[in-house]
Amino acid sequence: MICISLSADYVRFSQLAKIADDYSIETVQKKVLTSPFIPSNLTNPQLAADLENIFQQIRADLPLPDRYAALTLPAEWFDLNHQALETGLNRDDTGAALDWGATKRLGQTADEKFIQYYPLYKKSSVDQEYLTVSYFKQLGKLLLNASQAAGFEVHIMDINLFSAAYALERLEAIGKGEKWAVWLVDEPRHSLMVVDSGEYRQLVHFEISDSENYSMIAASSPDDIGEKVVAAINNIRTFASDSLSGIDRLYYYAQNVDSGFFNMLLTYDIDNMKIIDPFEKFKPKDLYQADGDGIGAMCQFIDLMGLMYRKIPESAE
Amino acid sequence: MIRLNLTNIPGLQEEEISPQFDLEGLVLEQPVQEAAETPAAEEVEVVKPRPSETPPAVPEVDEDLFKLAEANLDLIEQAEKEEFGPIEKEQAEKLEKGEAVRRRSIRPVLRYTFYLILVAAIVYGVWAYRQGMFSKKDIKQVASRTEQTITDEADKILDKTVDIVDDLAEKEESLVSEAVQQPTARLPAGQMIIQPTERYYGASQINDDFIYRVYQGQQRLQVCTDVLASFPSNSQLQYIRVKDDKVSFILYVANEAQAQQIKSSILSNNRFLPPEVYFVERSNKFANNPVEIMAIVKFGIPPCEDQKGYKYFNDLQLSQHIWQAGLNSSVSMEPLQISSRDNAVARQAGLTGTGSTNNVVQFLSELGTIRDNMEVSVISITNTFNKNILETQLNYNLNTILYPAKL
Repeated sequence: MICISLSADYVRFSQLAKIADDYSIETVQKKVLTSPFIPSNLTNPQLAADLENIFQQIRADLPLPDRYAALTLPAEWFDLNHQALETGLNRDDTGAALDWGATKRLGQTADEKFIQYYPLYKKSSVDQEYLTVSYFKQLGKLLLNASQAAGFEVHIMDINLFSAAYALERLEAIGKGEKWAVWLVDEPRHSLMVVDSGEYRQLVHFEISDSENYSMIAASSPDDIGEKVVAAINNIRTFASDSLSGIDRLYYYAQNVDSGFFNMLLTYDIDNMKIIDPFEKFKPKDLYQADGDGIGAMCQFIDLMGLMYRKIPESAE
Repeated sequence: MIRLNLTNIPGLQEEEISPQFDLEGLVLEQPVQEAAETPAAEEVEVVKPRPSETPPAVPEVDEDLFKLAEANLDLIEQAEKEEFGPIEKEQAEKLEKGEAVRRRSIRPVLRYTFYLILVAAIVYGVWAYRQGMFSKKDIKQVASRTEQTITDEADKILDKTVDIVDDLAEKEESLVSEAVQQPTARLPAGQMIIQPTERYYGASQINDDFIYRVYQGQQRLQVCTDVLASFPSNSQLQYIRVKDDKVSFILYVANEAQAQQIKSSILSNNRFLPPEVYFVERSNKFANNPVEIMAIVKFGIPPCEDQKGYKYFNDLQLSQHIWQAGLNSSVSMEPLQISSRDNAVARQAGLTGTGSTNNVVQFLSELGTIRDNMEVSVISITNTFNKNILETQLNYNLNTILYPAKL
């Protein structure tokens, strides 16, 4: 399986193979995009050409011939929100009600988007919560064209924070009752996802604009659970603290490992704020190390590890 | 926690996350040459036939030819014709094969008989001459008589051969016409179409489980050609893909009416289930074809009732066989790439090439009629030029699995 993680400026990829009874990460590498992979660049032909080119390079660099591909993309490409519905509706009615809600919210752009609904926790004894994820069909076509040019077949597409969270679930023994979050550090825009008692709760985007303040850009639900964590993060910049309040654990990682803010965070010593080496259980045969071989450099591949864990049973760890 | 997969179909997703870890994508393919060069690569596990556990799922049937001349005819009528058209071709092909096999078995007998007689005559002649039995005149007479005898014998054998072949041809012709004359009325909606069964195949040389998988591959090929044939000649294809029991495509057509016509054609074909996705929207990609169709359609596969005649071909035979099908259809083709040399297990293989739409359809149809040991698991076809389907060249890419012979 070829796993590909796209970020604004880079494409990271890995290859997972099952050899006899062992799972093996054949390679983990990184390539630079010349045209940024950001939503405002979606219709730029240069981006399409760049992606095609990079996917073909990836194919050429694979240690073993392969076609089966899994992608993970930045959360900013997706629109996420929550809808609550009464329980007891049949599947068709539920689908229709969710469609109606999504169309009301998205308006005319609903026709230009792929929309999916994932059942979440029960909000109350009568309401069922759903996560609505939508993205422009144009994005699907862009990736499809690039994949086809390289002869890849895309079977899985995920959002980077969800991939990273899944890797963390597998790497860390996180208790079922814990509230934890994963934070993608980027400047100036950051993303954070909160998981509560093993359930996805919220995804937020925020900016840390100056030395003291933050601003919330978007949240997938009106819940304030994400903002509480952001406020706690903001506090540690100015107040010395041994631990973060409002959350049991906070994991962070960055895709731009040269970020000054990220490198500052690496020097912090806070009990419940952690950074994880994604390869502590499975060592790749061939690992990209041009950014260094420390945990700060390795963490950039955590979403790739999340994709790979989708195919690795716990019994193989 | 939920696991997203944004390549799934739109709408409400399943609530439960399967605790099973499927191995799809982890078993890798490897060209034969590379396997030989890199010892480590030999350890790569190739796709095992998913054992006999559960009978493979739903998929479905049929085959056809892409007839450009009929492109503007009513699509429903065309689909009906196409469902049964290929039967004649298939049987004719089998007749040809049968005849060729019999000719091959008779010709050596004729040849060796001729040589034996000739050698015996020469030996006798030399022996007699040395014994002083013949004068020059006698020798001429003997040579002349011997020549006459050989010619007569050869004529007799040739006459017999021609008679045998004629008889066989007559028998086969009657079989073909019987099969073609079977009723072609459409079955009620929802009922699977089952092709007429042929009874003159020999015993199969591969296991029953594998036969079913090869049969599924044949159906996928036929579905692919069916869908391609339903596209208007002025449309522009981006891609069509058939995998498992689903066919998906993106096509650009001139107007919404054409999009609806294609949908009706699919709905009217009872092998297809109602489309899971059928998006029709305006697009500015092609000025002549401003309407884009994005579709995902499931199809069913009827039970494999005739398991006879599935031949085991070794790698060389299979490559030659496919190469010949490519030549017949005038498509270009890369050599068949096979993942491993070990023919005792199931192995992945890949087949790629290029051809006009007509020729690619013909090629896929031909592959769909061959009862061999190769399952076509995924068919991907993409357009190479921004031209309409009549004028363009298509790239085809077939993922296949080669099954071992029955022990």
